Amino acid sequence: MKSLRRLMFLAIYSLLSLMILNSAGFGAEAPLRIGLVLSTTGQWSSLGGPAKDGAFLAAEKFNAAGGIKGQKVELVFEDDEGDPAKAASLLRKLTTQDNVCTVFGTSTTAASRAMAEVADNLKITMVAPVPTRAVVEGRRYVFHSAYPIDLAAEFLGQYMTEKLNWKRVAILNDTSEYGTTFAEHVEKWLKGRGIETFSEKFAPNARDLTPTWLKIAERKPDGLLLAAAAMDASAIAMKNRRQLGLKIPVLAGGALSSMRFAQLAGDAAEGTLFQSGFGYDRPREGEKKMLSAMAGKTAGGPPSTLFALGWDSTNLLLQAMQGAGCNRDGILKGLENIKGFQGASGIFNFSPTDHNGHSAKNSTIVKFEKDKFFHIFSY
Amino acid sequence: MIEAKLLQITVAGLTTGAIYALMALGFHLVFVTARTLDFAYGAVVVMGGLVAYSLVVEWSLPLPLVLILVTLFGGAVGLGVSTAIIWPLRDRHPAAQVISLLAAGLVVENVAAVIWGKDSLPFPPFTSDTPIFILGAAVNPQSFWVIGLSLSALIASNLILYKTRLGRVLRATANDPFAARLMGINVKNMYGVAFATSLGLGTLGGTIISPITFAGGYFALPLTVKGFTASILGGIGTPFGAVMGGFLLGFIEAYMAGLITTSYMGAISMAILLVILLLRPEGLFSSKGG
Repeated sequence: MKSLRRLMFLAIYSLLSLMILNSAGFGAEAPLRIGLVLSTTGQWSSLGGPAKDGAFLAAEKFNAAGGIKGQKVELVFEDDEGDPAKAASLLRKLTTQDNVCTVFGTSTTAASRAMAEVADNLKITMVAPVPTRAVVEGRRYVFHSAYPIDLAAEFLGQYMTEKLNWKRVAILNDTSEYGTTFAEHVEKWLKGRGIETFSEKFAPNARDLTPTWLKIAERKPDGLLLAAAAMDASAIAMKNRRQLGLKIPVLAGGALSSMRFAQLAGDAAEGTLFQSGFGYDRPREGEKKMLSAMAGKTAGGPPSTLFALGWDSTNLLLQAMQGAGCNRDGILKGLENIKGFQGASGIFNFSPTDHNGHSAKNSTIVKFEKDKFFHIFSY
Repeated sequence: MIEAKLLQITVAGLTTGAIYALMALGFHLVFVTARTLDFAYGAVVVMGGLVAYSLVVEWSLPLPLVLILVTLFGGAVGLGVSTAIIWPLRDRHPAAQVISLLAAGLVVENVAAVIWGKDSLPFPPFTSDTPIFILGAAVNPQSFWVIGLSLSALIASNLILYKTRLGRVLRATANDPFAARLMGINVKNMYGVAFATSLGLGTLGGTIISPITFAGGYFALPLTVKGFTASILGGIGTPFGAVMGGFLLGFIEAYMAGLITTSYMGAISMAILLVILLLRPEGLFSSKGG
């Protein structure tokens, strides 16, 4: 009996350790290097993979066009597996051992925050492809390139209430930091305008949301905002909705607007509205540029928000390096001076006080229909 | 309307519960014979779904054949694990086997990522995914497959355990390996049988759940935790306890999500696990401990 209990606790201990522990990685060497930390394995690999492809395509195009005064730029890639502690130590390693000039990373908000603290300590510029301002708040050397959650909340809030005329809004979010913050912002925006709203949550590895949908359906919302980054679980959510025969219209947040999500959800994604950075059938300048760079490439598949984030973030860093080379403070100033940058996910304007650079107008609403995304709305 | 909702939630609980029950029985079989905990189990279950995906989608084999092949595949892996890891380590500290199995799970997971990639793959439904309405509740036909096939597998394993000579020998080995050896039972073979059955059930479970959950993806560790929790909840020492634990965990999750809250689901199953281990380590449905 006693030995059984001991074995059980040993078992739990090892399971928990496995959930926490991770192993170290190795880097490469090259001149004028940009460090790249993304989550390409583990739970958030659907976020890191496309961003990595986008970053490498941007570097390839940049080098093909001559690089920085003939000098080539090389990306040094590391996988943090979605682990904040690992992301922070990888940034330290890239800066002190690989001598990278600047860093792009990482896929999750929690891990990006851990990296941001290290970036400021080491005085190295970093662009995080995450949408939470908390990552850059109070940080001198940190920028973020994704459409911020508070702007998204405002943009989607206006769209849901003014264009879709929803009077009672359900919010379904995953329990990642992104999902939770997103839901909070939207809820706050809606409540501030007297719109009735309620929310339900699911774990990023959830595999059945039938009971959750039943709870939601009982309250008869006019529509539902899916605020999540977990692609598998969100696709299952869409399938469960269809299986239950529910007709509640769904508007999905930016992290889900990709062909991969639509393919996972299959028929269940038909007719769903997404927040996006793309115009699709009405592409903007930066988007056209990325699409032409992607032509004939297999990596990245059809354009996704995350691919564009990798592409845009790397191009922003490369532009800052054009004038500054590997001078870290030069790169910082270079980034802060970027104005009217035509990115694939919108137009960026940075300043010493604004380390995000997006404006509400960069967002679009698109619809998935018959295996394609279509432009529905933008300012 | 309330009844339809309860029925709906019950079906959801029964569906996940059936899979947890299969896994809990797998944990039980390995535990009673080899006295170890198979933390590679989730990885093997996921692997089962991926192998089946290739057989169904890429090779276009008929479904009944795929189910048989996948179960045999799990059995073969089980024999391998038993021969290569469990038997050589049988006289070491129990931690040696547990840690080795954990490591084996990571190897399986990474091999699977190399072969099938890291992303989940959409697995076609066995028949259709147009829901069938029963008393106002929409039931995914795949749920019938999951419940039906799991129950058949559970009944079959039970018949083998209690109605055949092999089962008697297996149970004798579980009761007292030393005495079993004295009686001329080949304990090594029994380890093999236990692991083969356990992993065979696992790969079968991984296949029948895939149309609902997708094949592959980041799912091995959460599954291991669920299967283990279920077996502890009901009682890892008896097949009945393990199976009941599986269904109970499925119902707890479904009712909690449908009636109370979906937050902290993972934390709650961990908490249940710890409470049961502290208060009733032999499990809820078991009269004696190990």
